[in-house]
Amino acid sequence: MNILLIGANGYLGPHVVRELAPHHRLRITDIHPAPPEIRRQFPDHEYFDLDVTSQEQVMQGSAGMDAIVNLSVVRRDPELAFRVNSQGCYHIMRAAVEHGIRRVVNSGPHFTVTGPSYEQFDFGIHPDVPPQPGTGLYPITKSLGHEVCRVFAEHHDVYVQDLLLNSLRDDADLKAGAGGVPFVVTWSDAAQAVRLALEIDLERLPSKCEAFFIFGDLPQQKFLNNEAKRILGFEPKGNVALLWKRPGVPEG
Amino acid sequence: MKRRTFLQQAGVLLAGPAATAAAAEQKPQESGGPPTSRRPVVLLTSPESDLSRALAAALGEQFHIRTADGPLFRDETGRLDRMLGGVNAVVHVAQPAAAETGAELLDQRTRGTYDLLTVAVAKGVELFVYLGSLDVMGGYDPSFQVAEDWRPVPTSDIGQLSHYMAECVCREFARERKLRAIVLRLGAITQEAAARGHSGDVPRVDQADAVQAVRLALEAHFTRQGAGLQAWNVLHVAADVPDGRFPVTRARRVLGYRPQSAFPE
Repeated sequence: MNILLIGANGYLGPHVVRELAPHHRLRITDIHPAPPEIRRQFPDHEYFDLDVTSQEQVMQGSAGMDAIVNLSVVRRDPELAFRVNSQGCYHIMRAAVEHGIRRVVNSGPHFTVTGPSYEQFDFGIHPDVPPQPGTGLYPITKSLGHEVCRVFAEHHDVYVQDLLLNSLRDDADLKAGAGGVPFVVTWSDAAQAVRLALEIDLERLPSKCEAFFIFGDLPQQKFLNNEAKRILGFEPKGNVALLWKRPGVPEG
Repeated sequence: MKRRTFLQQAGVLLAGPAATAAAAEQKPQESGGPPTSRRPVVLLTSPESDLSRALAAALGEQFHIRTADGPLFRDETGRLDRMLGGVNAVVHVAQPAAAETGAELLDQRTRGTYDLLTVAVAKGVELFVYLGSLDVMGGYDPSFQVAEDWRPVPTSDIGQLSHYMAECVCREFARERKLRAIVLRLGAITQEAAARGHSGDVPRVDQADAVQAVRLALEAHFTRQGAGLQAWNVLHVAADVPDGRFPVTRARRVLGYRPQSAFPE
């Protein structure tokens, strides 16, 4: 499969490249250059600059692709957050429609749909709820991007999977008692989810716009990742539950 | 019950000392004579649009009208802060003149609305009226009568999509009870005489009736102590067509909206 990766040179991108490179032909793009070790390790893939805020660049970069993976994100800049997180999705979806690309994998934080009004009150939260991102810049701009994707999917022959992540960790950082946000996934498991979203038969998706919570198996039951497991076949390997184990207490 | 008490009970934050202090700041273009303590200050956006001009002319006796030119983005100059200092309500007409591309329209309706709301909240603005479009409800089968509690179904057309996204932005501010938001989803604005004989799928509303709805929304908040209003309000504003696609029942009930012009669908 020919895959356009947008925002591929951030934190998650290189993990996704490692996961996908053996199986697919990648067009690895970002406004930042790819890490040298990635270029050395995967010299047979395409690399070039692409700014998701430019409709023209996204349109050109999408030519000849079978799927688009959007990993771009801006969290704090009040202008760029809109241009990247919201308008960027508009540019991507227009390009997908123009080029007949039926598969788009988007990404964002879990509060794209389940903001403070869910997180501060509820348990057993799943991603198929009416979006309530709240008024924070990062959540609301990502949520608007999600809505753009949903509207395009409803009106065009495009399937969107929005992978919602939050706290990403290295396996080495998973230490007993460290705690954290109960929405943790390892980088490699997150990359696995991207691969699964690219490989699933589109006709098996329950709808043309699906959101999945991507995190490892956690004890809190605050959020649920069962749909990612059931539909995508997501099998997180990282022992993220360890973060909430009592230090020094043996398993069992 | 005093308005302040009512709104506090309703969970809508009110203008506080910040708004009083901000009132002393430099003000942009104003009309309707000098502000008095009895006349709420209303900021109108898109002053170059026909609708905004009609609103300024019609509301000037009851409200102190201030107009907001240009893109409504926060910047280092603090222009939006000055514009909103001392303002009690914003009527966001959201018809940006400078938007030349779809992406610009999207940016102005999403980021512009977000920035306007963000600064409005900081300045203690109580009421935000967004003038949206009934187009976002046009996707339902024409055999249905579509009310405000139906899900918006915009197409990917940038005009519809950007209005819908602006509504989403307003809704989150209302959900957090940062101010009261009223979305008036307007039919296609038209002049009655010009529209006679016209037929089409788009529900229409005479400009005078659209102005009436905005005036009633402001009055409901400022002179009727918010009676019938919530923190988040969506109202359809169109001609009152018997058995039409978009009944104005809720606007009639909540605001007392009485459209004077009728366009057969």
